[in-house]
Amino acid sequence: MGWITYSVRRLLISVFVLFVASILIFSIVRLIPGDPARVFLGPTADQEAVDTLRVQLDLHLPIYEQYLNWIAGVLTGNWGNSLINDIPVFDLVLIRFPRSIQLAIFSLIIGVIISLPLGLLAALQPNSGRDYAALFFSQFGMSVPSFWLGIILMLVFGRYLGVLPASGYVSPMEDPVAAVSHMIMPAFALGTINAAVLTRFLRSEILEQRGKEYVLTARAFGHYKGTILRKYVLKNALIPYMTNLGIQFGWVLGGVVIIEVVFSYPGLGRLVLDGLLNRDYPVIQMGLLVLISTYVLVNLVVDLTYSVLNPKIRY
Amino acid sequence: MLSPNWTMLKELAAHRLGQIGLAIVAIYGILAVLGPVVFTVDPSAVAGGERYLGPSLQYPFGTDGYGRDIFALTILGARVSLYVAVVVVGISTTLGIIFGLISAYFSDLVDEAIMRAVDVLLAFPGILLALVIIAILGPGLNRAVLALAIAYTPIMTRIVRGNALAIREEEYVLAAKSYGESHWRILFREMLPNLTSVVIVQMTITFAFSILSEASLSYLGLSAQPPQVTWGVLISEGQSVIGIAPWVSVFPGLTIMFTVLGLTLLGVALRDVLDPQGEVNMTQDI
Repeated sequence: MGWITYSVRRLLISVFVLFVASILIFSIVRLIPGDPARVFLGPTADQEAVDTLRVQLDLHLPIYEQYLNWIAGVLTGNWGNSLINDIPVFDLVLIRFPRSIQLAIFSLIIGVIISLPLGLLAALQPNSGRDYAALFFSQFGMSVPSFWLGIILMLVFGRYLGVLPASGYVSPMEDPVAAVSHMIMPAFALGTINAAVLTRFLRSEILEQRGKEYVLTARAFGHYKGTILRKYVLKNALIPYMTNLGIQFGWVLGGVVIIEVVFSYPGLGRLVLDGLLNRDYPVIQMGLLVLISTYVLVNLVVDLTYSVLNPKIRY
Repeated sequence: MLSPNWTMLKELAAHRLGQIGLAIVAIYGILAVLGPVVFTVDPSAVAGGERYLGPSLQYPFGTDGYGRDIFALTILGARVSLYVAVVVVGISTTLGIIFGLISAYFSDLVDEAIMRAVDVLLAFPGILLALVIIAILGPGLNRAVLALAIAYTPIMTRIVRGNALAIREEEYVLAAKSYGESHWRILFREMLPNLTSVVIVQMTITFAFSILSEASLSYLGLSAQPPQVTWGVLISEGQSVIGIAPWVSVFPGLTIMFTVLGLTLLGVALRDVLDPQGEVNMTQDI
């Protein structure tokens, strides 16, 4: 399969996945047992209010028309209003989405800062003390609940040591230093699992590359071990590492919901959760759709990049 | 790929990480099953006068704002987590085996349909698929369990399918086909036994991460509701009093961490013993 065929197929799969995901998300309101308008307004609300909300949510139309209206609205930026405070959902998401992306990227940076040296150290001397130390960290990092780690960080660095603000958000436009200091703890709590996964991944990739025949050949040609490591082994190991980083980005997007709650960080994840707790369906739907679309898009870019970097891979 | 046997059990007992994992899992299992019988606590009872006591011999984990023994509550939470994990693993493994085997065996249209469905479900990163399902069903322990079971099914499906594809062309399967054995027999009598190893390893990992995920959901208020006690609920309650009584959050969190650690170590050891060429996929904290 040529690169273009592969790319087109990969793109079509992403479009298909998004299409079905949009039906699933659209169905959230329609699958709720009973009348969603009644569920939202409560059993004591008068019928008139329920009927008004039914019209507002398009519930009086046939189901396919509801979907077509809804998806047309999604594509044109007409995302409806929050049922709680009547603010356009588009505006809410527009403010909060960049904050979540900012947090997600920051978490990944922390994941890289930890995993790159740790994975390298571990792989240079497998089965040594520092290899075990790295694996030990990795295993713990995967086991610790991120929200609990966040609370512990808040307790230690926010309350006991008082070196970092315990919660909240500051825009980097207003005060870059305060913005970063507000993000360190949430990003660390979120990025630990990435660091753990990436450390283990980088270690096994380097070890795999070191066992390949080209390393032996290069040695036979009289190249220094260090040169081989820098020029060939690391280069080859870093490609799959970057790919995995892309996958990790997706997982971080799922994780922001929890971490934003822990740190009262006003991002998209918290918006979705508040929506869930208040049955604010337009907010839940668009919040989830935006997060999922981002994930699908990132995965697409990662896969296409990977297929360019590694021409052997064709699916 | 090999089927489990006694030799492997012995190997597992000799595996260093396996020993640590087994020890932690054994303690967890015993406390979860027998603990609530020995350390009785009524989660809705309010014991006055002993609020926010720090850890002591009498109360190893301290007490909370209602004067309740955190240690006893944590053990109660262990039982809930055991229930969650067993149901999630049970449902997702059963469905994953059925869909995965059918997908690999019948290929073409059926395979395409199942795998595209898996693609769609896996397009929801991390905990988001569970959130979609909870958005429909509403919060609650059993609803969260159902949501997690659905969320873990595509992962098991993909693993079973991948491994089943590899053995589909094996001689014993072809031989069974030429005997005219029924599809059902070939799938579940010939192929499934040879997938036991990968399935067991994946079950262990799902067990661990379903505990972690349920804790996240109940922390967010989307799973069990107070006064029902889960680890996530305890941590959430403790967060509001973290300044005066940090132990309310600290100990249940440590308990989650060690339980998950024990299970993942066991998973790694099982993989080493049962499926030496395989890789444990650890990115399933959903």
